[in-house]
Amino acid sequence: MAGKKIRNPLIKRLPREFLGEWKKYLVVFIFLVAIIGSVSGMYVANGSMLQAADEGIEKYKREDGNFELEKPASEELIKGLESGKQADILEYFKTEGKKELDDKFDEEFNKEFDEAFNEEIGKQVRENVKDLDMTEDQIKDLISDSIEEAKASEEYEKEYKDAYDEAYNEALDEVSKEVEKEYKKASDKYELDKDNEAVKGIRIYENFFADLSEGEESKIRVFKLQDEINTPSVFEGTLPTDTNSIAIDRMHADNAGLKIGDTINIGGKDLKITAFIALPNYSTLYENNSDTMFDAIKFDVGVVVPELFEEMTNEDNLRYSYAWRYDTRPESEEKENELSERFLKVVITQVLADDNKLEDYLPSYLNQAINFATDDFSKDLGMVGVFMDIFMVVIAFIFGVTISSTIAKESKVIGTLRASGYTRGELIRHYILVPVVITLIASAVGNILGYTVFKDVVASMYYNSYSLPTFEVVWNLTALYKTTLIPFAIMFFVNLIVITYKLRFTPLEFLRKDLKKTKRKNAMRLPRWSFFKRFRLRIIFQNVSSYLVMALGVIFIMFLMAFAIGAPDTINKIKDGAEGMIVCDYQTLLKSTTDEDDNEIVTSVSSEKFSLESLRIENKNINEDVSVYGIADGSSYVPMKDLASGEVMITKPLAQKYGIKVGDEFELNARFEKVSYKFKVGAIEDKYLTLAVFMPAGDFNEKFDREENEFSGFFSNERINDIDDKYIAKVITIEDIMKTVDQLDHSMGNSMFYFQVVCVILAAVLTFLLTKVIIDKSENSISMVKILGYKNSEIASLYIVGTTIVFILIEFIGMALGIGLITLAWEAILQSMSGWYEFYVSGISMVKMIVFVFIGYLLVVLLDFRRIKKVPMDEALKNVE
Amino acid sequence: MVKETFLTVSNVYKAFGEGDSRQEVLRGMDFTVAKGEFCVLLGPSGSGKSTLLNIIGGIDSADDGYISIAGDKLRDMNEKALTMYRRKHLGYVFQLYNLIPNLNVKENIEVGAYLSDDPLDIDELLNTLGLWDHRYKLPNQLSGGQQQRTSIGRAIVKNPDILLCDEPTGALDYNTSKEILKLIEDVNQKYGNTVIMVTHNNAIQDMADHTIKLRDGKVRKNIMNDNKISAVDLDW
Repeated sequence: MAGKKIRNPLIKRLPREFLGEWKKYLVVFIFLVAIIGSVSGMYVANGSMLQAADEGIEKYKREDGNFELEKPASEELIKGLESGKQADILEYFKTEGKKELDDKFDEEFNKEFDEAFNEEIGKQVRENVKDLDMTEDQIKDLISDSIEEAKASEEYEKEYKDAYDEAYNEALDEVSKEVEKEYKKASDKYELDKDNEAVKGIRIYENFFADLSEGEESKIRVFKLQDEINTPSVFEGTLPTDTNSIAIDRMHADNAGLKIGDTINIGGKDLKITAFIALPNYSTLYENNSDTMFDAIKFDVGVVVPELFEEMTNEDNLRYSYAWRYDTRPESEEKENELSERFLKVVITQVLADDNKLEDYLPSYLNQAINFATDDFSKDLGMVGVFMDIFMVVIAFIFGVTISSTIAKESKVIGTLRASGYTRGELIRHYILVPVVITLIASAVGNILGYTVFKDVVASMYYNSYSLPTFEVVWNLTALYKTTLIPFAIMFFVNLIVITYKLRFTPLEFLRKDLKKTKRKNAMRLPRWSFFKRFRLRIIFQNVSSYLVMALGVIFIMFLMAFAIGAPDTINKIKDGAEGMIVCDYQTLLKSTTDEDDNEIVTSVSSEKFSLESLRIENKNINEDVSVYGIADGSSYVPMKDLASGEVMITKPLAQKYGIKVGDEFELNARFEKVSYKFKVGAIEDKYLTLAVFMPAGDFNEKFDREENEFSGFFSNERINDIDDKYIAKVITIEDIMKTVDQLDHSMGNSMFYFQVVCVILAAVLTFLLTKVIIDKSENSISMVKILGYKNSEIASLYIVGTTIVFILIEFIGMALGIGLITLAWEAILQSMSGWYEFYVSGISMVKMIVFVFIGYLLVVLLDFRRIKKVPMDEALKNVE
Repeated sequence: MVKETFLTVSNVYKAFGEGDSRQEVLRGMDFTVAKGEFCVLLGPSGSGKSTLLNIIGGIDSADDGYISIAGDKLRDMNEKALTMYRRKHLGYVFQLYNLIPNLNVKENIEVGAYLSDDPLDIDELLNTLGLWDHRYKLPNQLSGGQQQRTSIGRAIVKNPDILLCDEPTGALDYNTSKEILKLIEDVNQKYGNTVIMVTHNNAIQDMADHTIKLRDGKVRKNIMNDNKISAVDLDW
């Protein structure tokens, strides 16, 4: 009696395969779930937070850019700006020139004309009376009378008018020429001649602020509470309603350990914290856009009621910042860039025409305080995505090695199946099922955990660094693609290649276990070493594929380990040597170098004058500021190296980041104007931390068209207290430079330690999986040498010592490659950020890397020893063929 | 009555190795086997019997000459066609059983059943094989004879035209060997498959319809046995 067509029974092996090797598969499964879950959580959280940030642009009326003026803008200026049209500054210059001429001309002309007229009358009188006997006093009286008489005549009036008209027209001509010259200069600088289409639909909002002290160590940027622009998202509490309250940034409050209801001293006034907020234009607490890193520890933002704002600010601390918003937001960053370039010309010309001065201009797409967090999401996602892909490749290869070993072990069964009519495709599908099923189940579980647990973990990580608005979870297609399709594809294709390659033999070759294509007749000859050494070497040769996968895994682990250990090393190196890496303890920048009475501002504190210009360097990722210093001759703060005329000295970070060498010429651009400056490098100074150029003060003033003795401020190692605050623009201290490092240190915190632990566990898992393959493969030989009378310890030394030697070798190679790769990755990351820090791993840390990963290995060796002990002696007898 | 020729082995040559190490294993082998015949390939080690069986089974190829089964020549088939040929027409039984260790007896037989569109009833077969009580055991819980029964079950469940047996009793003791031979005999009679069995055990020729004696890669004797006895009566 015939039976019915049945389903492939090989599928029934699957649960037994899982149960039989449950330890191995559980370890792989847990790791897959952990990594897929984390990455899924990251995509879900980041996607949701990005959506919240996007929605926040409208919800919290986030600015599209801001600019700062020297003094408050007039109503006309605001109107001009909102018109979106470039001001006619030629007309402005002309009007101004004429106004100036009109103001001064009469007085100057009259003085000059009078002098000439009086002199002429005097000359004539003296000529007429030269033969008369008159005293000098009599002559003077006569001259005086004659002048009066002449002035009263009609002829004088005509002569005066003619002279006046002629002189006025001449002066006006001069002014016109001067105006045109000035306009030409400005036009070249800002490219005003090019057609600048009006920027339509732009609204300007006053967004004044003041930087005040907060407590003893922090600084807070206080804004007026308003509902038109950059409105706060409230996390906890209620917005201030009286003049004794303030709402501050949630992130900073977390870092500073502040709670709702606490009282803090802001600019000398005690205020009660009523709310924790996030401002849409400060999702990352960057004090200055040129800072390398944000500072949520010592920098804060807050809002107070308008009355309190008026009370706390004065013309010395008030910053006249204006925000703008487009009625219709540009669709892409490219369009936003084009629009903001056009608007910059509008601002420059309108501000100039209104007799004001532009201090800063920052469209939102360039604003790190707005974009850093969201950019960081994408960068992190990119990085984590790559990590996961590499991890998946490693796991896929581990499966590949395991399956290869199974195929070798089941060679005769495969031969029988193939001889019975099973196709190669059916067997490929059968063997690929295990990794694929595990990956799919791990993806499903990982994604469930990603959407439920991990997304909160990831979000809390970001909320620890950034001031982001609250978010709701949104479905993320990329997460599905990255955490299910990609792992599946990697696992599928790697194993497809490995299995197809391993199943390439004929049924007969499988039946004969003839699975080596090399057809080497004799075993490789080995040197005349001891038997044990040769035995170990044979084991190593026999397991080359496992060791190759192990090498791949160890390089990956060492790469992670190099970061986990090297990043704190780098930070510590900067922290420890910071004192020696700065020019001086205080760089006091002045608003003006003369006081109200036009006297030069001086200080009694031991100091040295310097000049400073902040320029920009071309970088495809960001606009990075470079400080160009003019240094006094024989400076005790910045000892200049020997430079030829016209050469400059640059810092090592600048040289490294932009690949500039001694003898090279490089270009820096003015921040707003279309002006660039070329510098020839005469020397590179190793010790400084910032991107800077140093040149003799004389050369500096010449290069930047400044007066001979002009300067920007003072270098000193003590705080300068004897200059009125109103003349001081900024004091740069070591804390300002160290805030980057402090923030990095804070952001990384203990996470690097956990990262190191993860690396050790990863090393252990990798070793566990691969040494298992090696021992499983050698079960027969192990069993046989047991029968021959070898002790377990001897067998372990044969099988474990060989692997240990290879592992240590791989560790050293992995460490070198890991450090090399992470240095490249670090440099690539820093290329997209401001500043530059050389990646550093100390000698001790290198030892740590080797030791930590080896600890992971040692844990597994103990298990391996147990495994070897458990291999039964009849194994060899059972499998005699 | 003249039986219909099912398998033709025509002037088959096969050599292994090259140059000095070249060894001719089959040197012009010729014979035919009729449908439903129990044919034994008998010969000492190195006589070429296993090589010939492998070529008949389509897992090895002849250097010259051909094999045809029901008129189809194997040398005209590509790898895919050969796989299909094995799938549809052949059942293999090996000396060392080659069972799948983590499938039980029934499932190991299902592995064979899967290949056929019209397999035998597995439960009935298990009874025939005397494995009904052991059907849920894994191979390592079985004796050698039971394992070989399972492997025969796997081979015949798809009711192949030809059952190829490569020293099926080579690893078994006397009694178990006889049991297995009886089973093959029963299968041959019950399902009418052509059986080609490789053995070096002379006694087995007594139960065959047709014995081909090989030596040095050639057919030395081609004997039709009109007085065959049952496997249970064999003695060696």
